[in-house]
Amino acid sequence: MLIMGIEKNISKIVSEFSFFESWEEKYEYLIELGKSTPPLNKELKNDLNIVRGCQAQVWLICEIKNGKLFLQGDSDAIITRGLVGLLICIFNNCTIEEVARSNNFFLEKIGLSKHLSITRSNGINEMIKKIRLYCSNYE
Amino acid sequence: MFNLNQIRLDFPILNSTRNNQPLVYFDNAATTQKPKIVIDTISDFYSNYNSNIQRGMYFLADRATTEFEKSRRVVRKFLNAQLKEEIIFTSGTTQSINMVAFGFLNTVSSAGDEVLIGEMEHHANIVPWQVICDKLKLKIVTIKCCENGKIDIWDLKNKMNSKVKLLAVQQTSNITGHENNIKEICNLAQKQNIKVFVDGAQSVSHKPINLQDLNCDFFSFSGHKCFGPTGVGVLYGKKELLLKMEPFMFGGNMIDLVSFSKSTWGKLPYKFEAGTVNIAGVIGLGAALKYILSLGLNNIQKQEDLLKEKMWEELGAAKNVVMGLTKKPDSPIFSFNIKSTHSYDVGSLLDEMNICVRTGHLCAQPAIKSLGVSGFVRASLCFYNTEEEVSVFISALKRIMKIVNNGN
Repeated sequence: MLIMGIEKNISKIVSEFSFFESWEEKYEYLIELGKSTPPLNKELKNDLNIVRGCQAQVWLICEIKNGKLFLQGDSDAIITRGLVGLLICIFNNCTIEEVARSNNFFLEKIGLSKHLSITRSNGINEMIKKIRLYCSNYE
Repeated sequence: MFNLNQIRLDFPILNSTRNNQPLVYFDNAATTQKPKIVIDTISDFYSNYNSNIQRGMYFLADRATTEFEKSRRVVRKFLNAQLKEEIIFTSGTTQSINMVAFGFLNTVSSAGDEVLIGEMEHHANIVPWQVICDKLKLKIVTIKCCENGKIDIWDLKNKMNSKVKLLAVQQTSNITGHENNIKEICNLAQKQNIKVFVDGAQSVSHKPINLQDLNCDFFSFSGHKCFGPTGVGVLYGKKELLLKMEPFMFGGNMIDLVSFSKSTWGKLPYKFEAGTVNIAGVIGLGAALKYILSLGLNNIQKQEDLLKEKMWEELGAAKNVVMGLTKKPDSPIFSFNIKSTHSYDVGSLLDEMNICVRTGHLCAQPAIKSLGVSGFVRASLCFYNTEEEVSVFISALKRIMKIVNNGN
């Protein structure tokens, strides 16, 4: 199965989110994820790596090693940084073909777009677009 | 009699809930909610007398024209302008500023002249001046502001000279809620023959405006920031200046005679109202201003003073809250940050509790920069907010600090 890796990662997150009963818990999870995401070095927070369309500043770096995607990222807002962490959990170590062919349905599966306002104006769609574009250009 | 519970019933949206949480609307500096009378007035226009104004020979058109012109008289009275032809309907403050920038500035300036702008202005009171100054080869000079965003009068005096042709300044800051002394500023400017454009977008809903007393040359506001519909606003200008000012848009209602060799423009105020204007919006704005007058701006101020007092005290006392202002604001606008927390995070979490605020650069990037931050959380209140909502807001902030582990 081609999309095995991403699907597996998504279902792991979906099952973690399913334990949360309140929006606070979902946010606390994201914030924890944000705190555990390694920060980028200052010099990497540059215009080249910035993702436009977010109210907070977001930087994403995509790298390909042996046909697989490696993501790094950071944000000055902790929730957005949590979302970066979430994308790292989903896409890291997946093949470029798989990432290029993925879609945004996982946002709904996790319940982010339905329950949390954070999918508005935080540019998560822009981040996903950047990741996917990087991989499809590499193919 | 100012009965807050009764008044809140006038605003259908204030009684809405999301996830069983009542709406707390603290984004009134961005736009205000609409009372039922405004919604009904607009609906009445479309349901019962929708027609184009100033042209049709029939009953409906006559009624629409009458109601439209009634709104002009309401605006004149509301602002205490001298003449009703000094009131021009626009799409909002931004259009009003652009009209003066592109239609008036060239009539009083030549290359090398200067335009003064306060450093706390929001984008709409910066960018049009920038664009036209670039075209006309004029220089923009910024005036420093004091710590709460008020124009530094000393710096203003220093920068006024015979080259300066116009000063563009806001009455009330959309960031700090502090008010400039427009009367004093106009007085100073007039002595040097400098025209003053006042952006009243943030002041009209909070305090009585008396243009004859302020004596500014131009004044503008947006309907939607004072309980009226979006897409409608006002430009006031002194008659002798409006006569000099050139139209910025051509066609439709603004013309007098048209031929292929030459066309002439209608009289004031019509020469500035091109196309078919927002008739329903103008009539709705009239209803909104009448509503404000019926409540009484003095009563409105009293209620807002209560809210201001409580916000100032409780927000100021809350642990880890860093205020963006050092003195209680003139209008109930509060910009602040929570220590080590991005304004975006605060706004997102408030939204989960059905509390609406504005976050980020507040459409005033240079001003935010001058205050030394990257953004703010802005809670802007108005008379229909309650002291209970202030308490809900403060507890919400404490809950947020806990969620982001910032409580201790």
